[in-house]
Amino acid sequence: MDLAFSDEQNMLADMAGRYLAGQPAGSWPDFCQMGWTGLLVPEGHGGSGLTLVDAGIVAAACGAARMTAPLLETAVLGVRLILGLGRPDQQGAWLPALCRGDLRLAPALCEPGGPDPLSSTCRAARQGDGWQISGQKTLVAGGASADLFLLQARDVATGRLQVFAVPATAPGLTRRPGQGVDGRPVDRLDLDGVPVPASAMLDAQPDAAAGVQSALDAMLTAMCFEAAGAMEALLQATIDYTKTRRQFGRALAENQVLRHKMVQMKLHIELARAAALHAALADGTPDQSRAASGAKARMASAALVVGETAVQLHGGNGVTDELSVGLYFKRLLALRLQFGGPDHHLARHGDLTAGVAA
Amino acid sequence: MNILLSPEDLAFQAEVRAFIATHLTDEMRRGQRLTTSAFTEQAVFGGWQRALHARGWGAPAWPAEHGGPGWTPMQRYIFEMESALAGCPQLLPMGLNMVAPVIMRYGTPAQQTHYLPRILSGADYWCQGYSEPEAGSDLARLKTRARRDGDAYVVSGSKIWTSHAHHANRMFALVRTADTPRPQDGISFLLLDMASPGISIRPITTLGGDHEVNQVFFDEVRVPVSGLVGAENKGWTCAKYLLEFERGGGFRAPRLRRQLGDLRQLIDSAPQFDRARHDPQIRARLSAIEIDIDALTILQLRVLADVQAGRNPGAVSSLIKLCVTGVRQALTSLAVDALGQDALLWEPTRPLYRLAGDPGLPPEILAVMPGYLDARASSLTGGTAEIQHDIIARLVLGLP
Repeated sequence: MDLAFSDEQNMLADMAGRYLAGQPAGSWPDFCQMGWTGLLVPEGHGGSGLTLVDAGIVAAACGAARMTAPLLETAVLGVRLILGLGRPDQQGAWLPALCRGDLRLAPALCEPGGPDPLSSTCRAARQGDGWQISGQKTLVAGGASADLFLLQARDVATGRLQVFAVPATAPGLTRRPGQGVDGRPVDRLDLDGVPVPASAMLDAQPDAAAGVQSALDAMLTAMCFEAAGAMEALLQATIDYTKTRRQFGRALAENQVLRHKMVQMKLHIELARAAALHAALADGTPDQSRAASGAKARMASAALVVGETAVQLHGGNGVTDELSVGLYFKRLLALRLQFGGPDHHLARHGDLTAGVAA
Repeated sequence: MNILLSPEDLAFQAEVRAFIATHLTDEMRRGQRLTTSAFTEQAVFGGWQRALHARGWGAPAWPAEHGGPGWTPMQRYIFEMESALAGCPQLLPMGLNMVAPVIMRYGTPAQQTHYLPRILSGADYWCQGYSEPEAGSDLARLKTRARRDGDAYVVSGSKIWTSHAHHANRMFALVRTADTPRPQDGISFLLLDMASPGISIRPITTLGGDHEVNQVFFDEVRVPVSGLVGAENKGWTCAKYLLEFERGGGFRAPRLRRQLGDLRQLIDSAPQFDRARHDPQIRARLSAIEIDIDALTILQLRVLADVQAGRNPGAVSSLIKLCVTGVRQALTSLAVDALGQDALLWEPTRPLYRLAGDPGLPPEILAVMPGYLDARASSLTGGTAEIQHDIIARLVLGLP
């Protein structure tokens, strides 16, 4: 057992940090060339065949740089949906193209009714050989450039959850562009009897619920790593600011109360990051879901403390839109709440613990 | 990065589990579970220590040359983890983990030959004379004086919060041997015989109702100069060495995990917790604690990876200690809230594992409030949480 990062992992972190330092927005062709879109894709499908820990390393660098492109949505959530639920022909059609950047897809799992994709109220009704899908999706990232949406809906006949690959140009599908609190483009989708062929269902499993959950677990974990990177950058910005800003004849950082608040931020960051690593190491094990919810809950509480404290310690400037502090704070709010906040995931962790005990 | 134990380590883990299964009695386990104070009584740990010593496992952290088992850092971790998860009694650290490393590093061969085997066997029972009424966090300003008189030091003054001084036959103490501009430069490290004339002990009862700590008075106590460890006025260096020796060791997460498991079992089974058992807020707090224990385990394993590779783990160890305190206090606090009103019924008998007759409530329930009260000391002992914050601010965050 050795929980130190390997030389390759340290190099991955280093390279990711240096690339994003020069180009925080990133570029999709660069992501493809560096192998980031295919991090979790098996080598046989043109990917790097790496682990969720490795994806987490890249995610943390993205969080630190406030990289806003929907990389995790594609490389973690989308890839894991395809790997878990896609038929071999679907995997062969989509994964290599996704790695190369020839195919852009956007998962659309969030719904207005609640944060749990497994409670979807979207409806899929058989129509001839295919399906008609109706319902609403929200907080869809990457919608503007997506060729395909991967979304879940409930088979009205059987009640089972299924996942469909819906082309962006499908009739009955209306994309309503919007903006998230963190400034990222996020869309709502209205589906009004959208017809899809039978072949568009990711039906390697008869019921998609477990596959959706598993893909979501990986996404939650990756989001926790992104948040850890963002929080660490936010703490460093706060340290730098308080060492520089002077009032009453001394640097803010010389005041004990503020020093202790920054230590509290550090404690939260270390625990949240460790919880994310615990979840990444549990990937593919029976403890995967419980660990992912645990990490999400821990990240959610850390994100609020770290974000609010950073804003507070930046004084008046912290509550403007002019500093990066506010931008990091808003991104942390999004990471905290999307796919469920602390209450939701603590309850889920408790339910899964009781299930284990039983 | 690899989470799996090697075949050799798995075999060692099996060996440790077999030893525990053979030698850990229900009485020992129950005694440790009902110990709410920081340290365990000899009645609980004595038999366990003898069994470990007979196996050669009495001092996992000691180098082989002084009687340690010669374990790798990973083996030490496995041993501590399995012992904690099984609920084994905790041995006292004062002899084994505090004075012994100082004697090994700064003591004379004669001191090592005399004291170390007696620490290992448990023949000597040690207490620590550091804090004073006027010198707690500001320990360097201690005033207990050791005046040189021929072949002895004459010690006068007082130590406080001295755990188990009432049981101990030996004390290691920091004493003032010179008045210097920098107070640390006038401190010496001295070994005392607790049976010496002039030593008196006043018991102090804690909030939890335990007699664990004491105030100790020294009235012209003669201590042979052979009790001086290291050079005169270089005692502060000995004290600081302990902090380095501890770095990377002390895996506290498994003990917390055991305590959480005990609490979960109590909540799931005891009728006094019928209301709390399905309360979503209680369950959320249990989950939050378990999540932090999982996180602390990861942090400690990353420190272990550094220690194994010969890398300095750095100041993250001080962060871990602070987090461990937080979790312990959250756990004991949750137990009280979950028990609710029943937690207000007080049982004065100590130790709780000696409760005879029908106390009305099971001892595990009666231990909840004392456990919470005694845990308030966790954020004070070994450096207050506020001092830890100051240290982390300087050494980890690089604040001025």
